[in-house]
Amino acid sequence: MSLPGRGLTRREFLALAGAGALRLALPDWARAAAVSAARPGKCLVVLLLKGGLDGLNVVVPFADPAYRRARPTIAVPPPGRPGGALDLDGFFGLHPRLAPLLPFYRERRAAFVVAVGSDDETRSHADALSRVSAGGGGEGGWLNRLGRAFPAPTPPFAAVAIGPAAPEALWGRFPVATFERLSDLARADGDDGAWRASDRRDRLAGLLEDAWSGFRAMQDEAARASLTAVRAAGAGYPDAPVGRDLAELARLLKAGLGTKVALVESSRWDDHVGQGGAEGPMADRLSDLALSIRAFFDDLGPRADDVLLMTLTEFGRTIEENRWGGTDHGHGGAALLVGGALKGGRVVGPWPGLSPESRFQGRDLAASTDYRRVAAEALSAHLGVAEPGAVLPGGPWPPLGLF
Amino acid sequence: MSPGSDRRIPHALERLAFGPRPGDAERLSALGLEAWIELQLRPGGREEAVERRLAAYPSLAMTAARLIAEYPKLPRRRLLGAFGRETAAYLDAGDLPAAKVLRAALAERQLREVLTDFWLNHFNVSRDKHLTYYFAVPFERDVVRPRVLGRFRDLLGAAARSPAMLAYFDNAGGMIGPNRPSGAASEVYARELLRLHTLGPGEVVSQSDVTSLARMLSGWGIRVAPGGRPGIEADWAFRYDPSADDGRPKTFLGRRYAGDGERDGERALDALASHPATARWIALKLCRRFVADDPPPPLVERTARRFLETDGDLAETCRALFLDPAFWDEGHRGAKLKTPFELEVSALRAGGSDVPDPAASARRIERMGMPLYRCSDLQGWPDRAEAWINPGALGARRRAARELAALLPRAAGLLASMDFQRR
Repeated sequence: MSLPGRGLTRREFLALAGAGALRLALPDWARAAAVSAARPGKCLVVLLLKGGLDGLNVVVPFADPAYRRARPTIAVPPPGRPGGALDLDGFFGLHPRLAPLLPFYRERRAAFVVAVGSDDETRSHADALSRVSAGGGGEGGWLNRLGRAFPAPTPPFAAVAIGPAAPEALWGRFPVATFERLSDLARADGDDGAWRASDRRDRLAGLLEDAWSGFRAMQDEAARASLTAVRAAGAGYPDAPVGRDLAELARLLKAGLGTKVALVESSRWDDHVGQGGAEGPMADRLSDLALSIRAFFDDLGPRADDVLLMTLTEFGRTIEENRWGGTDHGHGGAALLVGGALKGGRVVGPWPGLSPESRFQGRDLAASTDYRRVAAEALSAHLGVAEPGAVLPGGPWPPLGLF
Repeated sequence: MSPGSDRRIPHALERLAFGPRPGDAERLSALGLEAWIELQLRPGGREEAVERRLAAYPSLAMTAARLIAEYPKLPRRRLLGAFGRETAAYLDAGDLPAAKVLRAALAERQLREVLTDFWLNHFNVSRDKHLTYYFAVPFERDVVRPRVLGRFRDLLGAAARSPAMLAYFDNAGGMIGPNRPSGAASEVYARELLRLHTLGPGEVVSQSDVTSLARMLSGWGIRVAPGGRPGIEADWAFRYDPSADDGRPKTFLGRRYAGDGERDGERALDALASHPATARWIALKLCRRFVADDPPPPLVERTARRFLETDGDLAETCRALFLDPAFWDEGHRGAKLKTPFELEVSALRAGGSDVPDPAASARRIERMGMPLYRCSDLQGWPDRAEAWINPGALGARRRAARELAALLPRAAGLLASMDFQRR
């Protein structure tokens, strides 16, 4: 396997983010992909749902006769029944605990893509995560390649990951600002917090100094914008990691520091055991997710239309419920898109069906829409990337008409 | 070792230990570096002072069955439906991380702690995964820790049969995970067993070898309660289930195996443990941990040779590495970046701390990006500087260093220096 992000050198794709990386010459493909300067202020937020989201219980194909048969204890009931799905178009329904997203759909500000996935057949978390992070090949993660296509000079917060380190999709040479809480960037009272420098001059010293100057640049920018003083609206965010992370991101975006791409992770979507249907552990997580997204866009206020949020996951899950009331690693899944200038209010993508003969490898929902096709349209229509195929190889990616 | 070995003492304390405590260098000098290394390589030995401190964490001594029975204060029905964090929240998650900090900071047998950390990372299982939350306790105590200076084959076999590993890879014979189509049952584990635990990512392995290995391990699982449902009555020990064994002959790494039940899996592990690629991979990882991110290939080669010559004797392999002149090369001194765990523990040691609040240390380590026992990457925490250095991470380290400096006045000067990030 020669894919980037695999094997011995896998970690070498991590964001180095030294200030020096800013000065790297752009290769030809990056110039071709350059983001149009006509779209200042636009931001793509990728919400990575780690573990493999069970798309069939998110955008529920309640009218597909095979759905309830395959899931005797965890199927979401059809609309109108207790705990029933929220009807979207007469065939698909939204999981009832995603109700906070329904107003977005009705206002045509949300779209749901079904049977979306990768052309890769792996069912290994590590491999699948690497591949959706690589975005079809090329150097580093696809969101990092996207960063390198931004017009120079790029501000310190152009590409952001909320967390202790950049996830694989952001690994690469473009500098990535990572932080868990904006308050982490505040200067300490009575101390500038500087390190006493080292006399050493070796590879490690170079890495440390570059990263430290990157951190100082973030601090300077944060101080300039009085960023740590920007109060989050706070209201409505559930007490869940994804809510706390999106609240931090909203503070950053409201400060208008030129953030063009942000990655937020939510984990524990690997429901092998006791996932539940309309209620249960997965439903509780869906509730946190929907309330967090709702609160995020409410919090963004007038900036909400500049922000497009899309979900990404490593794979969907098996059509059939397993004997432990859960689902196993599968293939096609679902993606949620909210915000931006979406022509929403639609369930998008061809539906391959759940019957045995239409299944991928006789077992899983087929991935009739490549996740890169969704992402490529987001890049071109929302961010104004002229040549999204340069960031996401493997196309062509004809638009789905999401925008 | 030559009398001039004194200059090596600080380096030895940074690599075979979690950094020096006040007075350690003098003690080593009096004892002699070689004698200290021999002491560190000797298995066994009690750590009475540390064990007294660990008595504060009763869960550390419990079996998996007892942990599962004692901790979730939930009706059984909920337990069965909520194997994830909902159940886990009821067991004090601080026991293992706190114990790890205490041992690393206070144990005299420092090398055993360094190696336990190394091998737990090599055979990474995350506590965030289902019942691995509980199994992680006996995994460290009964599987890894007693074998870090033993034979690799014993460690590999014990890890492969451990409920922690079986549960982590959903490979418990259909108990925890999945009702998979036959043959595919343990392919995820088989792939990682080859790629991460033995031959290494550099060795090209065919899909048919992956499939064969999965089949050779078929039937390996965890004993559950009668009726097949997971239940707290079970003792959660390894169980071989002949009815789940495919029983057919297979070809693995160019050799034919007749299909001999449970022994098939053991033979596969025999073949892997004695494979030259395994020796190279383990030697590379040891050298990367103890020497440099990119260790000199001849040193890796010599270490691998010793591993093969001694039939994977880990104490002998380590001894050869530590006695190799290339190990002490000046260019390697300070060339490794400390992980957040190493940073915290080396600060506690430098400050002469008796670690009054190990849970606070574990939280600080987590805030630096290293939630202990919860590494979600199958290959464990990275052991190269690039993976840990980015602007945000360095900011988090600086913040932690400032907190530590306030707690540890003796180490405050060290903590303010960028050089304290290195070992």
